[in-house]
Amino acid sequence: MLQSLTVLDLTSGLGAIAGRMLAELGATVTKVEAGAGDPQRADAPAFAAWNHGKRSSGADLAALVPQADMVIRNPGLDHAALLALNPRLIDVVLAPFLPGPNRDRPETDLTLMARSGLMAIVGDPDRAPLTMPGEQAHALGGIQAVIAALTALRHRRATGKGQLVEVSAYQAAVLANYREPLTWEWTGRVGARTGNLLVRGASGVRQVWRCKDGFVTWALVDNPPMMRGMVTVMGDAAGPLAEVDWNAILVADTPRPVLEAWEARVEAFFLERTRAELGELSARHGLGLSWIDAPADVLASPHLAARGLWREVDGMKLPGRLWVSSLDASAPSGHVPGLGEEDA
Amino acid sequence: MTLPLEGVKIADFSWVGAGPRATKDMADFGATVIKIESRKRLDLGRLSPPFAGKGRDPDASAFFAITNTSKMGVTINLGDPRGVEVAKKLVAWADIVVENFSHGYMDRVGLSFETLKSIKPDIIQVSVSVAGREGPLGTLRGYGNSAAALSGLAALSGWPDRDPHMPPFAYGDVVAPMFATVAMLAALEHRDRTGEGQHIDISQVEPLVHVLSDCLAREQAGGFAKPGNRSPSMAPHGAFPCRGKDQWCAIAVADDAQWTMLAELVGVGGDARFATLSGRKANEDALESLIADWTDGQDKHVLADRLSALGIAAEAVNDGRDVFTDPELATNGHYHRIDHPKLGRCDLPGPPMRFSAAEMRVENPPCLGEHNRAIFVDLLGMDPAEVDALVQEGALA
Repeated sequence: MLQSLTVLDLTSGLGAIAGRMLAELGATVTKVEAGAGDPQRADAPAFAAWNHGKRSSGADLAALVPQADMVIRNPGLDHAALLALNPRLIDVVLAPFLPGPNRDRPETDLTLMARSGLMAIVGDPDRAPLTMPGEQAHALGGIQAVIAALTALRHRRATGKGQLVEVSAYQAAVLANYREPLTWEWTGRVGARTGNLLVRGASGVRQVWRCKDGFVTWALVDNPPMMRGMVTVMGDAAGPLAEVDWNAILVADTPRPVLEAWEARVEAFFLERTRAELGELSARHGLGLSWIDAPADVLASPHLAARGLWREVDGMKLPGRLWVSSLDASAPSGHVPGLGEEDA
Repeated sequence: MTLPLEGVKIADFSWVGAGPRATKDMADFGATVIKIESRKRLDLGRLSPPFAGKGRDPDASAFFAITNTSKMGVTINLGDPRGVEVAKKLVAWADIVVENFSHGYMDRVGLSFETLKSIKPDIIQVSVSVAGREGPLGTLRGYGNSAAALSGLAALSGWPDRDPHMPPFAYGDVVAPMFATVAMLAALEHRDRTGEGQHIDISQVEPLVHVLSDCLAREQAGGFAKPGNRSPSMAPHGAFPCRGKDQWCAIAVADDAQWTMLAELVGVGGDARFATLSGRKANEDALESLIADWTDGQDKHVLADRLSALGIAAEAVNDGRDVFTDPELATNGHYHRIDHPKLGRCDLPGPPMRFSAAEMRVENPPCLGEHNRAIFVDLLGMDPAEVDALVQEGALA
């Protein structure tokens, strides 16, 4: 889709996913690496994950920038100097914060997740707040950098001119926390961690369950057809659940002890069945249940394989395609660039 | 200064979160987005709290508002063939059609991609669904947790000694629309270069797999146990208790030099166990316990600022109030003030970026059917009497 686009990627860690996505869309993305190169090379799995499909060059920026459509980078270079080399250049700068009082404040993915409010609601009430797996504030900022870059590219079609686009990873993470600041703004309430209890009313319902060979997610919710479907498949095992008039109650406000008694029945039923069996029952009866895939299950998923998600990269399966298109998608090579290999 | 996407036209059939968040981006960047809704099948986002005022006015949901800024809105009943005919006029007008209905719905109402192409040969259609339309799970009916469950996110979340954890917000509804925005922009570029439209099928699962790429690489490079708050390359790296109920400060020490500074403050400067990263990792329980004893009772914001001034990454674990009132967001224009007939004067978030040579906007979300006349009569040129009749008869409702 972006075959004509030439991108210079000067990021390390924060923002690396941006060049990765643009390469997947057909752009020529070159990591510009002086000296020992991107420090993330020391972390080989992460480096492969965020950099496959890119090229690498140690050439001088002054030689590369005049031919490039865009630069994606972290702060540090002078925008005016880049623009002097190429007035059509789109210069995308991803940083923890937009320029301002916090521009030099040290940040990691963990501390951005804390400041965004996401950690306050992730995890269990009896323990410390938790971050999310991987580096989600960095990833969110990186995807926003792609949006910024392509929006500026569209604008350049109209104006013929490049520009500077600055992107805040912190604000990207705050947008992901879509409910908490909004809830405080409108109700004056702040959220708290509820573990695996889904809280929608005065009570809470369990949403992660052990089964015979792993875990599934399902919950007692105010969806009478779904609840009746579960009672039907449980048969005699439903016990008191069979007596409930789902149209007459609000599950979300039912006292926890009552729900716990019902959930004990469900737990016993799930423990005797596999993830696949429960998934099949859900598909057939509209139960709203999903099995929970561990990383090994995700890598082995027939569905994801059929959709062509994976790319073989140095003996690993890593996510390649961003989506499925009706156009034949040309796949970039599943290659992790050696330092400066483009210059050989 | 101009809006960067001025002139881009989007017919937005999407609802709830996974589609509307993407078209919000496009609208804030200047695209004309016409949101197609129906009173017969309300966008569930309009029924989501919090609401302005008492009751549940579908024009007063703040959740709907933050997801639909800068759009125009019309009501079309796609269950009525006359409504579908009007929808086709919007397809003819549009560059892009967006939808996130359940599998087969667009085909059933007569708006398949083949039909859209026959109306507008270079149309771009972006569809968002839980597991994608193609593939063995293409018909999967998704619920809130499906994307987290099927992507590995739930399995990798939570404490190492406990069950998988379901993060209490729909992260698939966050990341998939960002991919949809990228898809629209990339497809516009491709169309302008080649003249070709396309149908893009976005799954909510796959974007989550993408943002977990490093975890999957580690899994294959020797196994990856979920780490909770810990990091292989930094220690300490976690959240530590502070003064007040459920108040915490996150601290990430990047190297031995930073540790030396922190160790002096904590009063464990001479403890040789912690001098190197490998030593701190080997004694992480003891390390965290000593730091927690030191942080306990300190104000989370004061502590974070004090450590930051030393160059050590530290931030208060903010709650919703802390985030909404964070001066960083005010200083950098994260929130935009609107004046809305039902919501009143309020602040809604905009895109997390700024352009040196273009503007962005965050304008009112549409009330239900607010732009029916402007779109049906003024834009599409329909006869006002015909529009009134179709509204009365429920086809444009």
